[in-house]
Amino acid sequence: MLEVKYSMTTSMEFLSNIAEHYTKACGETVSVRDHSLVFPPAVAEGKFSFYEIEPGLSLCCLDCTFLKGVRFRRSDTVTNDIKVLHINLSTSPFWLYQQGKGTIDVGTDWKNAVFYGQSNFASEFVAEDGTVARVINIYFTKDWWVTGNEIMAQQYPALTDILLSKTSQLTIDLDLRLLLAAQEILGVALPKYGLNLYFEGCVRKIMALFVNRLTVPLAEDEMLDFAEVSRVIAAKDKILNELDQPVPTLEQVATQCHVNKSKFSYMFRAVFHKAYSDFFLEAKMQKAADLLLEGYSIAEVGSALNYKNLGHFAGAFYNYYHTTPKFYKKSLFNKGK
Amino acid sequence: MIDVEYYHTTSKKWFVDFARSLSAACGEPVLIENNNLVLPPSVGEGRFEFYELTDGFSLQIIDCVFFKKLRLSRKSNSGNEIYKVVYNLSTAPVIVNKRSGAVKNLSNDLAEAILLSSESMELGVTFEANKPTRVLIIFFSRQWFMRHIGRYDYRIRVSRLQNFVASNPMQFTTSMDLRSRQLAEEIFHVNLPQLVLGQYLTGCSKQLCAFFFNQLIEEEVTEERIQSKEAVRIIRLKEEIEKNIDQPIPRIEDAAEMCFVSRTKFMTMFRAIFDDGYSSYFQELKNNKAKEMLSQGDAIEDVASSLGYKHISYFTKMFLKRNGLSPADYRQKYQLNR
Repeated sequence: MLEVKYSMTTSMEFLSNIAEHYTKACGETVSVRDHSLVFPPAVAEGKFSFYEIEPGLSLCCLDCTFLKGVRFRRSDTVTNDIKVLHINLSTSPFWLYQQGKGTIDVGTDWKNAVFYGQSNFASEFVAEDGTVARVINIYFTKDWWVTGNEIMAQQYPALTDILLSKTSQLTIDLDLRLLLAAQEILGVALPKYGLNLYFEGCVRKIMALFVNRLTVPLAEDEMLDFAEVSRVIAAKDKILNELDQPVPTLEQVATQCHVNKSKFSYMFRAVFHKAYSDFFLEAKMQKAADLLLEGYSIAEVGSALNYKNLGHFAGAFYNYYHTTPKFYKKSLFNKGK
Repeated sequence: MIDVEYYHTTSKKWFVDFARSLSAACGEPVLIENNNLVLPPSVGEGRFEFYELTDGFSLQIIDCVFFKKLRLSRKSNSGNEIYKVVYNLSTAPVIVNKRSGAVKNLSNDLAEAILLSSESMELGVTFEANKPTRVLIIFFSRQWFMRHIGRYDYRIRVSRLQNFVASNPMQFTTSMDLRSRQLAEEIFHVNLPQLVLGQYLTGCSKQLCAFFFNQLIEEEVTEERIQSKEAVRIIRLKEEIEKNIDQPIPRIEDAAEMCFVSRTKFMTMFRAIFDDGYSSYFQELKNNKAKEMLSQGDAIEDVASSLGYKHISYFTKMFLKRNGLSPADYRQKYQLNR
């Protein structure tokens, strides 16, 4: 097992620091490029990125597989300036050791998957060989919290105590809303420009939901089964990535997710706020508009979205946008001239 | 019809003043409770809310039915410090009157459902009576923009972002992508206690803004990319023609088709790249070539055929017209190594 030391900070040094210790631990070079670690092939693969969003706030997101097991070790410091909110979306075990509290599994399911810690407590994260890690870490300073949450501090001083007192260290269970908010960070269609602004938005939503959870208990209908929800989300991602293939029928996809049809419909709606068929129709139409914008011909777009019949494609497009693909394309290319 | 004149800032002050103006216009008291403006029963019902989210950044949520036609006109201001972005999610179109008198329809489909307007532009918005109105408005100040978008270097290339930096008056509409629409819907449906509502709405609004600016930048970058592809094709074609100068020069229509652009666009782009029109460029080129060959003592027939002229007489005529000398005279006068 590799042992990688790191320290908590909200500046970009965080990443170069981890790269340096990772290199030491595995004996091969781990470098930093475009906000991300570049791993040697046998060590890990995927995304391990860090973004400094604004002074005192940063985001570290992992969507990667640790081919070699790794222990991330952070020793305690005297200063207590930096806080971390850790959200674990992994579906395999991911061990957390908290100073004075012992070791728990923060991966696998909803249980204990959200961890709040501070820099004056040591902690360790351990991922075994082959762990698929999907993790969001939000690092923020005390100052950032105080300036961003003045109103909250006035209305609910007890909460500020809970979060900022020296001894505070806690885990809560993940829930659907937090899961979805965290998914927005690891999602596929991120805005390329204005990414920091987008991430800041994601972080604020997560913070709001986290604080809400500390003050209001979960409603019963929000407690779905994590494994099933994860399968539904994975199925959705797979279909989205393969829009040139026929979208599976409700029966087919429900079978894939090991649930019955009505339960699948219910869960899909609970997670994505839309019926299954509407969701993919919208996705197709959006992709059609994007492809037309990129300059592909109507025939190419139709076949990229698995329309056997171009008339059918044009009809669906018209029903959705109230304009034909041809007219849409034309109006796009006349714009700004 | 109720006519209300208003101004806006990113702070709550304008909302309070707006309530006063609305009250004066409809002759009934209008109250503000927390973030919600309580519409008098005769005017409308539903949500008409304003949230001051962070410094220079705020959000207005309108989800209501007006019982009377309502026209809001904004007084224009001299500076361009405050911008607003209007998202129309009503099924009914929202009518916008511009200073020029032009009437724009913020349509109910995605095509032109977002409007950006800076405060020096005059702007009137009309909401129809008895139709459900669902509109989101994000206000941001120029400082806020500079802090979040303006400080990155991609603004240099994008003219619309330069307009923000230079505080030029701006007003345009753009289309709503799927993700923005989902986020906007989310804002209407947020159901959280007051304690964390502000933080959550800030998050959603910032995500929405990120997609808005992303789209602005991407539109121009895509345009640039398409143009540069076309330019490359035109340059290649020109080199190709030069290499085969003994062949006839393609007609403009054919050349344009080979580059997959229209005839007009081809001519404009050719001139922009090479500083000369298509046919005059190649005539000039041929002429120079002819002079060069003649001065080396080549036979007139050879010169004419290697430049793609089928008839020597035509070549002679063109040459004479351009240089005031016939090819034979030219050769006599300038031939080297005689």
